[in-house]
Amino acid sequence: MSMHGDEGTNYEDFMMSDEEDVEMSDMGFESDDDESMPKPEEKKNESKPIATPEDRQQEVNNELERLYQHGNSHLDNQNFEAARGAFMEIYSIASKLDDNAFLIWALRSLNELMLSCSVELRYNGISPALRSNILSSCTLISDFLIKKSTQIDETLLLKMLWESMTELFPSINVEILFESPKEKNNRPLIDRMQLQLDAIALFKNVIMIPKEIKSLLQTKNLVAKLWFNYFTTMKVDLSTSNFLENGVYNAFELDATKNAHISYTVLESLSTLLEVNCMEFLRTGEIEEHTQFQKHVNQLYSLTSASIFLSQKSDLMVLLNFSKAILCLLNGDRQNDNIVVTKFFTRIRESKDCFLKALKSFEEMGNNEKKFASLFHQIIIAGFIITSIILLKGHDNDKIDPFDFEQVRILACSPTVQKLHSIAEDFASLNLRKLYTSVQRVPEIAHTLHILISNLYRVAQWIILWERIAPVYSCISISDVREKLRIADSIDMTRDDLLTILMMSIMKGKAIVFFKLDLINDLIYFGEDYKVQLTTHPKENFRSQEVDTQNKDGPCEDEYSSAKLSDLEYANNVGMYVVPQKPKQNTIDSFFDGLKKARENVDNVPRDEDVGMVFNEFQPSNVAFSNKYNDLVELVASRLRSSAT
Amino acid sequence: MLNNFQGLNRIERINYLLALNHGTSEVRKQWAIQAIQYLQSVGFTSSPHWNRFVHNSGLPPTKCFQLKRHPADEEETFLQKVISHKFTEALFMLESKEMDKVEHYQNAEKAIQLLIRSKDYKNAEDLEYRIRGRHPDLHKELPEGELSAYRRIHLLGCACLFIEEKYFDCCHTFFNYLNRDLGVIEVLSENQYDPFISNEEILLMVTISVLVSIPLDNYDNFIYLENMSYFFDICPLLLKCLKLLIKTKFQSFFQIWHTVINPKCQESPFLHYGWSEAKSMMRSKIYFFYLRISKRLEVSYLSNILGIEEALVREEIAKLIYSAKLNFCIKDDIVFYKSSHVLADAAEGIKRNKLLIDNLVTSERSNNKTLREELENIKSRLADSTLLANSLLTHSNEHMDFDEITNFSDDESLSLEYEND
Repeated sequence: MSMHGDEGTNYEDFMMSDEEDVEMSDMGFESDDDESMPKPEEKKNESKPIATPEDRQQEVNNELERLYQHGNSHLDNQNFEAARGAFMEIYSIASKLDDNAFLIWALRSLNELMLSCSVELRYNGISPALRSNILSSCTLISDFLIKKSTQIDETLLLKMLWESMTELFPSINVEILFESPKEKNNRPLIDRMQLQLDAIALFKNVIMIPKEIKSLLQTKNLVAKLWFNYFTTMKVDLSTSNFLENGVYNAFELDATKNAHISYTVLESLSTLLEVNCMEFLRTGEIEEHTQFQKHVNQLYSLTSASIFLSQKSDLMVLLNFSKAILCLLNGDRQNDNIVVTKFFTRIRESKDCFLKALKSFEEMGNNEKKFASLFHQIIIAGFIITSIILLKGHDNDKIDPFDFEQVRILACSPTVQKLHSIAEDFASLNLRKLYTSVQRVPEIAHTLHILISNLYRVAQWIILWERIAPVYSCISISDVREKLRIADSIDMTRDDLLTILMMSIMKGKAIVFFKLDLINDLIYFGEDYKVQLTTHPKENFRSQEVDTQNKDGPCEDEYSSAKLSDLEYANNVGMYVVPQKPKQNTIDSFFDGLKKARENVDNVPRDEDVGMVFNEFQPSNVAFSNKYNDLVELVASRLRSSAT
Repeated sequence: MLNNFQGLNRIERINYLLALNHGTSEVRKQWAIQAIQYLQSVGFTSSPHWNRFVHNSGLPPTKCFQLKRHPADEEETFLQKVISHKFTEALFMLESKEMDKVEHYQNAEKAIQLLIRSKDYKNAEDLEYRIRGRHPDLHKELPEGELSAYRRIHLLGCACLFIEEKYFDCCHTFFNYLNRDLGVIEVLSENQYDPFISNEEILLMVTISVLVSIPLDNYDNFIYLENMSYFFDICPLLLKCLKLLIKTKFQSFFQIWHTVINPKCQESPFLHYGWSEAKSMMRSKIYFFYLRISKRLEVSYLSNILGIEEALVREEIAKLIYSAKLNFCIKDDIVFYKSSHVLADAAEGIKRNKLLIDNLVTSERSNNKTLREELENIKSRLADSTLLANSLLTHSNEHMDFDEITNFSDDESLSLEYEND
């Protein structure tokens, strides 16, 4: 595989005939020491004149044709070195012909040269020799283009370059996610990206080429840079991803995504952006640029849903659905972002559906051991199973066992699925400690899906609290509840955690049993018995502010004379007579109408038709009548007063 | 805080900031000079704030003056009326102006601004209400300037409700309108040049109103309402606050409430009105939430968990308990539930009534006593003076027995007597 074989001389011959010395030495300096060495000695060959009579021309043509066939058969036999030798010889001979003939043969040979490089790359992987071959081939092409590109029909040029470039630098599709995300310095990938960067750099002086090729090279360059930086630093390079984003953004702005070439680069940029973020997710369980990620998912979705061809590409669909699934998981964890708000179970269900879709597309991609063993695949399976079991237990409408799905059944014997099965069982039996142990047996999954896992614990704790503790105990100490909700010895559930759960239950309308706290003795009282009257002041009294201002016989009126806390508006806002209620419909109008009715209803007794579901009502109902007695008393008092005068 | 405001809006805001002693004396001086320069540039300085401006600018006291004898045109006259706070006259000018159909809503917007400037919120709301009823669907066909004026009128209507501390009505009106016309989102997200009330201020009004007036238990429903995500897109602050409150992260919430929202409200002449009440009401709302779920808790714990000064917590809880007659007591550091019967109030009243009755009875008794004594007197006097007659008319003695008469009347007139026993 050395550069100095039989064909090597021809090749160098050609190289020396090139007038672009600067370009040559640049290239040599950058990438290949072997190249620059022989240059000075053979410089004299450069100006050798060539006579071309008609008959000789035909002879040459035949010779070239023979070499071309020769090269192609070498290529078929995977004898890449020989094939390249033949193509390079064609180019070298053709360069001495007249312009017309030269152009035709140069295009043919260079195209084949590139193809042979890309085929070899695919079969044998990257080696130092191949690397220098590719770089020198690219130099050859770039030099040719600098000199001759204007003489070639643009459509032809586009077709040829597009084909060879996309072959030589194939898209890095979802396959990359099967690599281990933990591995820093993934050598083969870094080398490949380095080569792509170096090769594309050789084209920087080529100006007169179709704009599609320019943007293709630009995209390929950015993609390579993004991955190169990711695998060397394990960080998403934001400035590069911004450049990629801009390209995508412009294409969408110009509504140019229907154009085949543009759509190729847009798709490549988008999937790269998603892939690198998915990679980051697999590694850390988080995504830094969350909003951007959301945007890219939407863009890819709009592309795939507009094209039947794309929507049937299973690798793309795996990527899209996986991205959507993890987005649903991440959305709930962010509180600062102004993301679209969805309810917990809605999010989990959406996520489950996307994991399942990803799993189905995954099957269509064709399976092999490496893929099944990859973290990527395990995360899809685990994501689907865990979201399903959360819905199974926590939500009435979802009663399908994830393990019944064909996609899971075929893997039933795999150790990962078995471990996931025990997680599901422990969760179903609400055994927190066993659940924790089971989760610990899949450490990589637990790490990547840590957000989902903590959701799993939280749902379990929630159910235990409201279904196993609250209905049974009428009084229990906070520390006992903490112990019962503890996941592991090493993980403490703090007093605040528990209080937060209790209070959030009220906020979310999920406190099934009425409760009261004694925050001094740290006790929780459960049950309707503890419902007490919070105020002796019936709501009606708030209706008119005058009541209080006239009533001057209060004991400490002076002390709080500045207090202006007596109107109905205030009582309503503070929520003194709030009867917690769920609006029946999810519309703004019905929500506010319901609240307005409740505010104006001073009788304090909720009528059934106003209230979708009353729960945790915190006032005993007879408080409503206390003011009737008061009225009676007042009535007597006024009679007495008037009879006294 | 003044960057966006020009001319009239700017001088009114400067006046507000000066009146409330905002800024360092150097900054205040700059503001005052800017205001004076503006008034001089329009050649009309008879603003009610003139003396404050002059005082703060450090210039020697000057009287208001009018450079031009007569305002050049109608527009200038109008400006002068507003500068000198002759709002009624300015309104009259607007109303008597030739009604151009193309400027109908823009005129109405000017009118509602005048009403707000003159603190006549009732009429401002009326105006908004009338406009709301007038064009239910037609407004989609309005020219650009008219359409946004139409929308801004509604926003100003909400602002009035906020200023009047009608928080629920404010957000109710706002979201009702939003639901009918999502285009209001556009108006709220555009960059404004010299607004009367800025979009940021309107959004803060809505944010505060929602937080204060929607029950804690319903926040979690509120954020999922239809069309709400459009609003959260332009007002992430509200969503952030609601999420914190739903997660019961009260301390982080109050951090925002006191350090982000508070300064903005202090700076704004419009937010300022509704804010002072809302600020403490929100705290009371959270205190009440804790009281509602607790039998006993410590003031220091609350202060700690809410991130609010202990003295303030204690004072406000005491106020809350007193004014809402809550069945709680504070003793030392502890707030505890002190049960009282449903009829406790009524019992108090009955006790008071008993006193009234006692008094009544006592006074009746003393009346009787006096009456009886009087009768005794009369009797003895009669006895003295009619000794002779007595001896002559012995047979009629039985009819004139005064003791019998008084005893009889006691029983009949005072049925209350038994209460006394």
